[in-house]
Amino acid sequence: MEVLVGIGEYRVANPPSWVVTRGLGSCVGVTIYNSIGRVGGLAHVMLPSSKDFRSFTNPYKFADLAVRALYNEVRRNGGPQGLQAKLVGGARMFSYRNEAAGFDIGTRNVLEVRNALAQLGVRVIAEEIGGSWGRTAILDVATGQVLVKTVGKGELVI
Amino acid sequence: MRDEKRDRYEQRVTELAIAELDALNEIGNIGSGNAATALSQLLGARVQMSLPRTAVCTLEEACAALSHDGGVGIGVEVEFSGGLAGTMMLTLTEDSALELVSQFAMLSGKGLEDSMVHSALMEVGNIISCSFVTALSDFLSAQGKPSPPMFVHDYFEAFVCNALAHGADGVDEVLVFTTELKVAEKALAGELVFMPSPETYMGILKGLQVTEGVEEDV
Amino acid sequence: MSKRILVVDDAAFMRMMLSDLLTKAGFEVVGQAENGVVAVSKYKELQPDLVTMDITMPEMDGIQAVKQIRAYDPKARIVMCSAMGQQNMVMDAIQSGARDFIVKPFDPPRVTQAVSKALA
Repeated sequence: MEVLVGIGEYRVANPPSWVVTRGLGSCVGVTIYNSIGRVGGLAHVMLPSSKDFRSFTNPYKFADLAVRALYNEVRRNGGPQGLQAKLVGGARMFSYRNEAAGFDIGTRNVLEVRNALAQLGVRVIAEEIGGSWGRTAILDVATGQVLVKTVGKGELVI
Repeated sequence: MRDEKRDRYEQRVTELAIAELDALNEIGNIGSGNAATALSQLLGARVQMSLPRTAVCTLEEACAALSHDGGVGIGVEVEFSGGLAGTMMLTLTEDSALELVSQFAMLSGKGLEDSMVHSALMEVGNIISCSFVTALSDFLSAQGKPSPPMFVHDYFEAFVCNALAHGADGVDEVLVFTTELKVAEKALAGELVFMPSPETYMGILKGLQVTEGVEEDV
Repeated sequence: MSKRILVVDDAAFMRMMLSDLLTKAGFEVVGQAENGVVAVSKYKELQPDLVTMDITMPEMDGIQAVKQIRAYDPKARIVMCSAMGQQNMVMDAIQSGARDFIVKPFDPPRVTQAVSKALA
């Protein structure tokens, strides 16, 4: 079964299923996978931090709140042991004039996702990030492997 | 943006009345009318732009609405700074981008990987964006300084989201004008998008109040 | 002898269109530049009779380039070509020494007329 994750959403599933999110640009797709309980999920993060915003309706578009929610859900379904994360996306699709190196949305998204995972004690075991191109991420919940597709730059599994 | 200003903006956006949306539609109409004329001159073909739709929505709603269901296309973005600030973006599916470019005799038979085709699409996006903002500039008596156009060819979601996230400036509710294009009677799959910065959006509302006041006096 | 023109625009496509238009109108396009820095150095190298200058460009914008070219050659004849027709941009351009201002997209007779007038 294919489970589609929209922008600012997260989904958790059991095998046999694939959790899919399309067209990650500066957005980051985070997977948290429990290899023992064979449960995994994916969040599509759009913005680095909810603290930059005074009000919002959907908390799951922010790295800090989405990662925590995804973690809780995976943990609830498969326990706290053996959780591993992978990151996809965080690109810089446009070269903005007044954007100093390292301050682009993609890079900041990646940093905040890593921070949030570190606080929760979840290890990042693979990343396919950066550059200036989009990526589609497909998590195979049976194995924890993530297939990354691009437009014209091939595909790979992390 | 200062917090006080941001509060006011958010309050305004969420309290938008139908009448204001109508007035905002009119602003979009002024911009797209000018943009259609400019594009028509550039292509030497008849160009029609639909009446712009004005939407007030969250950032991810705007992205989803412009993502062409996971499809791939081209985007040309121009950033405006100064008193009239915001993001303008022309998006087109690959087929429609080629359809548009085929209007230029000197580019016939060339594909999307050709650098002169990129340059032509950038210039189309640039001219549409600049003429849209010029019309608004006259109406609002505010000036916008454009960036050179930026070109991208990728998943719609990937670049639309990046542009909106970059322009958000700490505000989750955005005002987006979108309009559809018809060139030589053929509808193009894509949109012309204008997202004013939060401060400019406040300025637009202020400008509207002035106009409404004048109308009441008549 | 036909007048020699330097075409400055960051878009290769626009340089091609403008060069084509000017050549057909009987002018000689002696060079092209994609930003203000290249424009200034090409001006010194080629000594053209006239420059068409875009405004929004990376590296150095057209207004800065006009100022530098005019500082080097106070008699330099420059016609601005910009997609932005805002009043303040036109004023900036004229004050920095441009002879005329054309709003993109180009209407060919308007370009020919502006260029001929600036050369007169």
